[in-house]
Amino acid sequence: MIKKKIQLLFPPEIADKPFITELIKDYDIIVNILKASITGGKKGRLILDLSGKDENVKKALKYLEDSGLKVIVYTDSVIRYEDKCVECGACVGVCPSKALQMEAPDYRLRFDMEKCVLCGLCIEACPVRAISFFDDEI
Amino acid sequence: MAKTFDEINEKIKKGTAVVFTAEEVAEMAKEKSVKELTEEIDVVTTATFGPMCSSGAFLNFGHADPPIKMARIELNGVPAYGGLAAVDTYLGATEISSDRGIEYGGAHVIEDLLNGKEVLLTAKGYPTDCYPNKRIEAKVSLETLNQAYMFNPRNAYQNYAAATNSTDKTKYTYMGCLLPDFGNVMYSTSGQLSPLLKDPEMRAIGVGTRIFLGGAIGYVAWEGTQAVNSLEKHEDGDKYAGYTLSLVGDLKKMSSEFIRAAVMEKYGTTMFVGMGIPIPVLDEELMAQLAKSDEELFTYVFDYGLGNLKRPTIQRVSYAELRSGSIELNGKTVKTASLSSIHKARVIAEKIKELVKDGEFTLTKPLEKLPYNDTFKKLNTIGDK
Repeated sequence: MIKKKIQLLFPPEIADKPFITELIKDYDIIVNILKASITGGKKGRLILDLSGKDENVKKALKYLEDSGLKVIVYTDSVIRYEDKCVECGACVGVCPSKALQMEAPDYRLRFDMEKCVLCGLCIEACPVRAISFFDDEI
Repeated sequence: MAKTFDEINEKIKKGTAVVFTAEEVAEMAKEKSVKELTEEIDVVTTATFGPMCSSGAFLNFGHADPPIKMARIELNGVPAYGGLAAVDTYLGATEISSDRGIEYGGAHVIEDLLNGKEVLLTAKGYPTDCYPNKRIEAKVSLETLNQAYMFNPRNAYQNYAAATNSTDKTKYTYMGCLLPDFGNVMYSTSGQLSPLLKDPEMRAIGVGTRIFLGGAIGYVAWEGTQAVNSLEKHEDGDKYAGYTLSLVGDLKKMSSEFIRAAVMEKYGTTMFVGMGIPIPVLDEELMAQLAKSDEELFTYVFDYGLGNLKRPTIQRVSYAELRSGSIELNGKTVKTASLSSIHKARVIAEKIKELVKDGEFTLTKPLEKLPYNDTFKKLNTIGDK
C-alpha cells in the first residue's frame, strides 16, 4: 500500500468526466477528497489523498495524465519556516488530523505530511506566520 | 539547613555552585528527599517563553536640528506614545499599524529593531520656542537610538487559565483559535519550569532581582500589573494563580531568538517574551516548592466561548495532564496544546544554568519584598448595577 497526495487540474473540455469513480472502480484506489473547486471558465481543481497498491496508484496516475489532466504529486503539503517557528503549540491545537504534533520527551514540533488534510487551520493559527501552503494556489 | 544569598554567590564566583533546571530537579525529587536535594543543590533555574501582551520598550531618538517636540509618533506606521519628553517614547507590543493592522504591530517593530533593521520614524509636533520643528522623518535603528530598554508592566504570569470553547463557533482569542464544541484546550504556562510557580511566596524573587530577559540580563522592576496572590489548597497539589512581575532590561543587548512578534488570529498583535529566573535554594521549604513536578501543579480549564468577564470554570487539571496532549472533558477526549514554547523555555533554563555555573550570573537578594495583593478589582462602569 502506498499513499500519495495529489492535485488534479481539469481543463474545461473534460471537466464532466467522472475520474474519481474510475479511480475507485477500475484501479481499486481509496480516494479521500481534501479539496474541490471550480474556477471561472469551468476549470476544475481537486486535491486528493490516494491510497492503494503501489502498482495501481502508478497506473492510475498515468491514466489521469494520459486523459489530459495536469497531475501534481505533493512531496510537501505545507511549508514550515523553521527559522521563524518558535515551537509553541498554536498549530498543534487546531490541527484536525494530528499531522502537527508535539510530544514528550522533547516537545519539538513534528509535521507528518501523510496525515495533512490541507485545511489551512494551522496557517491562520500560527502566531509567527511560519507556515504556508506548499502550493500558493491551494 | 539554610543557605544565604551571600553563601550561594560565593560558590557561584568560585565556580563550585551546583545548579540544575527546575525540570531536572523535579525528576531528581522522584529519587531523593527534599532534605537531600537542599543539601546538594544551590540554584534552580526556571524559565518561560510565551505571548505576553503587556510588554514594550522605552526609546529615546535624540534631537533633530531644528528640534521637535514629538507629539504624534509612528514607527513603521505603528503609533507610539507621544506624551513624554520631546524625543522619548514608549512603544507598546500590542499597538497595531495603520496600514497593515494586526499583521504588523509594536512587537514587530521591536523584532525588526532587534534584527538590526532600520525603522521609519515619522513624528509631528506643535511648534514652540524650544521646539520649532513641526514634522520630521528619519530612519532609526537600535544603533542610532540613545536608549532602548524593554519595560514590561506584566510578564511571567505565575499560572494562567487553560481555555476551551463550548459554543458551536470557532472563537479567536488571546489563547489562540478555540475550536467549537470543546474542540481543543489551549494553555500557556511552562508548568514545572514557570518561575513564579517555583517560588510562589516570592521569598527569593523581589524588586531588583536579576533575571534573564530576552537574551540579556534584566531586572524585576516592580510587581506586575494585575498581580494577585491566591492559593487554593488541595490534597493532590496546591493551585496558585495570578502573581505577575514587571520587568526591565536593555533592548540593545537582547536577541530575536528570545523576543518574537506574534499575531493571534482575529485578535491582535502580541509578543513572545523569553525570560527566566535562577532561584537560590535558601532552605528545605523553598526546595519543596522548587522540586514540584507537572503532576503537582494545577490550573483550571475555563470556557472562553461566552465572552463574559467571569468565565465558567470547567475543571481543574494538572500540567502533566495538559502536557500529555489530551484531557478528558465532559466525557470526551479533547486535544490540549500549549501557546508557550516548552522547548524555548528549556533552552532558556539551560542557558541560565550554564551562566550561573560559569560564574557569569550571580543572584541578587530582593531589595524590597513584592507587595501582597489579596484582591483583583473589577472596573465598575457608569450605569453598572
